Amino acid sequence: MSPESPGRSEGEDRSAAAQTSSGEQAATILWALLAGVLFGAGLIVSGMSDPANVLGFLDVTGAWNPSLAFAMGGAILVAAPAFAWVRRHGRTLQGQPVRLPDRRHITAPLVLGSVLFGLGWGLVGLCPGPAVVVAAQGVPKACAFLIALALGLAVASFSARSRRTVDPRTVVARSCRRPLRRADPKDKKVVKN
Amino acid sequence: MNTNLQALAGGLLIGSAAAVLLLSSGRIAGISGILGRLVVGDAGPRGWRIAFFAGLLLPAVMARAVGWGDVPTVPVGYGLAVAAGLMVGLGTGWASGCTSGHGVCGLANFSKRSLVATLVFMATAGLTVYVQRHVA
Repeated sequence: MSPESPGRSEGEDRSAAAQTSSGEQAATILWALLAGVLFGAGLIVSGMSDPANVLGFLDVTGAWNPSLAFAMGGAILVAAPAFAWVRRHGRTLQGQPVRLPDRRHITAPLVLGSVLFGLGWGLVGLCPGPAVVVAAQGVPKACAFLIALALGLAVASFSARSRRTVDPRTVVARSCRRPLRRADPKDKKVVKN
Repeated sequence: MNTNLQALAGGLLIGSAAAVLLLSSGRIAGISGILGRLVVGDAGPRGWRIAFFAGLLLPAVMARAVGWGDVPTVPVGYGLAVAAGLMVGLGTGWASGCTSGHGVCGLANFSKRSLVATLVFMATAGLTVYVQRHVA
């Protein structure tokens, strides 16, 4: 899960897992499998796994293909009520506590990472989901793309880990009025909002 | 069927996927995050990630097996595909999300960070396509 997604620490993860019965765990796995199938089918049905459609959308001054906006709009339309429900109740349907991402600061890694992502996306027309789907369809160049993507994600993860001594969020965050110092666990709370 | 209607139908499926995962396990259907944690081997429960990833592969493999739909082509050579893959991996890793994590889930959650990320990667990608197709 990306740092963007549930802000649960690994410790909390384990204690939550300890509280769930094996039946509930099996159910969680099956629901996740179903979610993956729906996601993969959605990418194919929407045509969004095809770089031609994605590049056609990004090419606003050419023969513009708006289908990506329909796909994204449809997805948000269905996902938004689920997020609203979980935000309001703070739990899953089975009753497990959930904390949605609550970071607010616009940071350098967020912006620079998105620039780099946009560059790669615009060059080929593949983002992570479609890359997995097209690779699974047996397209060799998509497999090469996916392997490089995985490598990039690993490098980003390690660089974020080594950067953690000086939290990048404190550099850009508007609330950063105190001098930079080594981050200690207490910093997490200070930085969060 | 009209491509925009098809895109909408597919989008509804993707949104349902995000809703199912969130309501069942409290997790966010962000592909770069799920893939990244699988690659690095993060601690904590990971069964759901493996299950989600397997599910993601299934329709593609089945579509190929029964010959449903066209297999997309990747419009660049191997060198550029690998370079762009690295950029997408590094970029979505640093930005903590991609088109699914920020573009679908983040926007559905009214996250300001996700809105900024989505606007930035859309604009950069649009500019890249513009330069590639109309300038270079």
